[in-house]
Amino acid sequence: MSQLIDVSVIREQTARALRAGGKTPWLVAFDAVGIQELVTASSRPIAMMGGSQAVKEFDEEARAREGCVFAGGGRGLLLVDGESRAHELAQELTRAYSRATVGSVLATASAPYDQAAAESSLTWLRMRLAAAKDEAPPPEDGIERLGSSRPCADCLRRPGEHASQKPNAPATDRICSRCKQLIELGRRQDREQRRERLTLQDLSEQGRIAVLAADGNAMGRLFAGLQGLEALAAVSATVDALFTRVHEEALASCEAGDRHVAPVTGGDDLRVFLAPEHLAAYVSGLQSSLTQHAEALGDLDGLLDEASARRLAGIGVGIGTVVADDHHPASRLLDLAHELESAAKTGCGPGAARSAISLRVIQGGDEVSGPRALERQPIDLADWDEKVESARRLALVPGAQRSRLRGRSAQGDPERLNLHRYQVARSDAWKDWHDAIGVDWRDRDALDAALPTGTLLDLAALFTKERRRA
Amino acid sequence: MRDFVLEVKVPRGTLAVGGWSPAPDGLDGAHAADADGLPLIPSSALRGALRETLEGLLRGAGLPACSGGDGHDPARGPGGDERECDLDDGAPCAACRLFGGRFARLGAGRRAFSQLILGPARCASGHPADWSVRHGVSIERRRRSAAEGRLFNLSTPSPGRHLSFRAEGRLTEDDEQARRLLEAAARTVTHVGAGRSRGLARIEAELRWTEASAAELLELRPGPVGIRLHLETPACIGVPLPDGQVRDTRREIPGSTLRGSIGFALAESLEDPDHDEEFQALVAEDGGASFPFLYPADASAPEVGLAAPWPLTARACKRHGAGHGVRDTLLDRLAAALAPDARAAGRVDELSAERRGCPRCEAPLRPLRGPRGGAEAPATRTVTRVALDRRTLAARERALFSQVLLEEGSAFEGVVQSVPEASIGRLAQALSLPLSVGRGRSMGWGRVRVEVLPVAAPPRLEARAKDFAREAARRFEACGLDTAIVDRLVPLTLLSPLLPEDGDGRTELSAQLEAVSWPLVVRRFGVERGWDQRKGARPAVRSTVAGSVFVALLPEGSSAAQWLDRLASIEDKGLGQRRAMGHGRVIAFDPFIIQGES
Repeated sequence: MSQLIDVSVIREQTARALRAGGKTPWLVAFDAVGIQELVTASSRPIAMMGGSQAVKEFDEEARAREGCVFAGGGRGLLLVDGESRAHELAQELTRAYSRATVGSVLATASAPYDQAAAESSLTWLRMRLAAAKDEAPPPEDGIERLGSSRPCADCLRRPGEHASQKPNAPATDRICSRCKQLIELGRRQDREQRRERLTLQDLSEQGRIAVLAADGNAMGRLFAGLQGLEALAAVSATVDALFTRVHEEALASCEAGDRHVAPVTGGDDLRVFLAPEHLAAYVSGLQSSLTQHAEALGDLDGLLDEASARRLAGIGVGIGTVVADDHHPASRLLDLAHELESAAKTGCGPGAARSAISLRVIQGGDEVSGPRALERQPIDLADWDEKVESARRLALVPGAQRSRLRGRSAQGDPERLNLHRYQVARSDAWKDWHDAIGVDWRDRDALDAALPTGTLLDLAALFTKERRRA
Repeated sequence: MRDFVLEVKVPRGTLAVGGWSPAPDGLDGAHAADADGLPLIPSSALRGALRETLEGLLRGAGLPACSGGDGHDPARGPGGDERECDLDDGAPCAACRLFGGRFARLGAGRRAFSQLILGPARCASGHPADWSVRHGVSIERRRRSAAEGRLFNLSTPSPGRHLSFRAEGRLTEDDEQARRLLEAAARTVTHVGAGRSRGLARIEAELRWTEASAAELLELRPGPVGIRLHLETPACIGVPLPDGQVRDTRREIPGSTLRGSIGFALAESLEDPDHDEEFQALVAEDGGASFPFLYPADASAPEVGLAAPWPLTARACKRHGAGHGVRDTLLDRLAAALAPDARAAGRVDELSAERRGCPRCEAPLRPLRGPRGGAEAPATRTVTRVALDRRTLAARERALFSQVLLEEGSAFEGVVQSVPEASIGRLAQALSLPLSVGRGRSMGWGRVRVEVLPVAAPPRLEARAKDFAREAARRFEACGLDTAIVDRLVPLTLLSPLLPEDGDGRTELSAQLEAVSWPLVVRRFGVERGWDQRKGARPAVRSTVAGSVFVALLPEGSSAAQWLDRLASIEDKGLGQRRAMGHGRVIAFDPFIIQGES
């Protein structure tokens, strides 16, 4: 039995769903459109958690329906008897999701299910779902009323219709119906879980916050290669459980406790806001937890063929992280982290890293997008701990000296390299760092080759305590 | 118009104007530098210093002057909420006329918000600047020793060499009073930036009026006009919806921005722009020229190509990006949409580009964003800006924000269409004038150099239709699908955002093409807004984003060949609203569908 899911429950659930499919089984799949936009519409963690809760409650509602094969993270699959029932169910789900999220859109698709050609049936359904996402209607967001009424003070995307209940908000501030409903959901959850109510500023450290976006690598190929409903249901549940477990263990290893916000975005996606001081340990914990659990999954009690089991065991992640001023809107920071996540994925694949990370520390005046912003090589996560240790020691070098290695003090400039050698020769902190990374600081060529990279300098910026000591 | 040069010298010490350039970890601030690492004085700082000086002079002479454009004269009592300045007998004070104020829209008879246009002051010292880190420390008065954790490191140009800067500017209307006021402010200004009490920020300025060099009039021929704009200074192109304290920039230049820029330039240079028929015909919303959305371009390409983002169906290697080629998945999707059963869908999937992955390295494919062709997405930088309350000498409430700017050096291109023949001279005149795009024109942002280039027209519509039908038939056959309908399929790709009269644009297309169904629709929605200098902000409207693709199925018994005239008309005139501003440009049988197959 897998450590993460009970395969017998999956088998039972799938058998029940097949019975619900009757003599003319039809598959109905759904996938939430713009789930990240929903959960980060407002930069207030309470609204983010409310958005996540809305998606979770919708998933629970879908799971409770007869014929549900799986549902989680705004995605799901059900079996029903007959084409007309499939269309009805698709409409019911669309309405329920719109109600739960105040106007967000759910893409749905259906296809007949032929048990003798299960793989082709699922492929057809997947194609139809992709087409449905491409053809999904716009959200019901009242955009046409934005000209005549003030925008929502929280999300700035919809018309403000209700008084803001934010402490110290100006009397003229209005919020939209979506933010209102999501905040109420978030508050209810806070009360139930007795969680401390946090703002992003509460999570930040000296005005800076870290944002992480992670996403499983080559998941499309993994799912496309699955044969049969049971395998699909089992892998979906496993991936959900795997990433939930990995996140929990990463949090435990960085000791962030409740000082984080992790909005739900579904399946193999992780989105986390936390203090920069916890970031390095979180990533380290995520890497070791993912490797350990994925490699122990096996073939899910015989549900997977050899190739799929191998793909599942070798799951890696692309991680993008941004450390920036906490006044940036949450959605913008997540977009940046997501861009970096894509950049990290370029370093992953056969013959390359299993998992990789791209990191940026954004300062005022920095180029935040465009080719130069993403040109750095991602770090192979297998080297993460070593890089982190090197960066932690680098943080002990006085900041004014570290800063000279950046930007306009271009690397490769002979005059700058000469100055750097001089600095190293007269600084114990620099010498200690070179000793720690095994570079003889007296060797001119070795010293030049070991000049800290932009990524390492960014990483060093995470170590506040060491920076203060420096 | 009157041009001038402002020479700024730093007689002693150095300068510290923050917020423009990054202060890397280890530093607490850094003086502004340009892309080459040379120090500069951002226009906003220079204008602020000149304005503050002029306000003092005006008040000293007993004339009204509000405080930084807030509409209140501190010499005449406490201020209140910010408002439009009317201190000069109901008209804006002299400082507001020269530097601009909080005007929601352009007043009657005015041609620009700010009479003064002043670019950044660039380093004119003639040698590469050296930089040094200045250390500062806070003293704890009680203990008379350094305060814990209060060491500040500030990167500034090294003092000791004679720093000098040079800014170019102009007055949009050449009147004597404006000239004298500006001269007085320049002669009197003494400081710019931070650190006055520490011996920084000291400047001396000298203003020299220059004769505007007569720009060479560009030669334009009737027909589509290919233009490429090169950003000479950073630009901020307003986004439809604001994002809190971060003001983003669009990564393309909308047609409305180009049209506004041309309108501003001509309005300033013409004697009576409101009654100039050629000008009015050029910018008429109905029957005037269609100003395109300008998309990032390869600055060295000899022609203006099909300026547009990649279609939403474009895919590239996940690991190596467009370096491993760009593929179009439209035919895969079309085949998938037309698959009659699961087995056929399985065959389509097996042959699909996404299933097979990158042909060079087998990595998965991913959606491709950004401009078509070889152009890179433009680089951006974020600057932090603050408006000071002169009375408290602190940041104004809600006036600290970050602004994202397109970096100088970026190039954007597009094709101006439907230029009325009588107005071609006016367009040539406008493109020869100093042009600025986007926000902050008075600070010298968005200044562009214009190149007029030949237009690389796509293959003829008939040839494109044939190529598409042939390729679609080949693909359908390989998938075991019926090829009988390929002649009735018409793919239409949006080259710019469409503002549909209704829905996503298919209603209008159906009316023109009598489409019986839409086998494939790949589209996303966006929001467009815009701003009119005379009417203020436009209402927000839903758009169908550029790169969206629709495939229409024509009525049975007909073929695309019979509809070529209609399709040519759609390509020529576009679809939906605000077509004069480049919205709703469409290409039928996009050649990329075929090229992207290989």
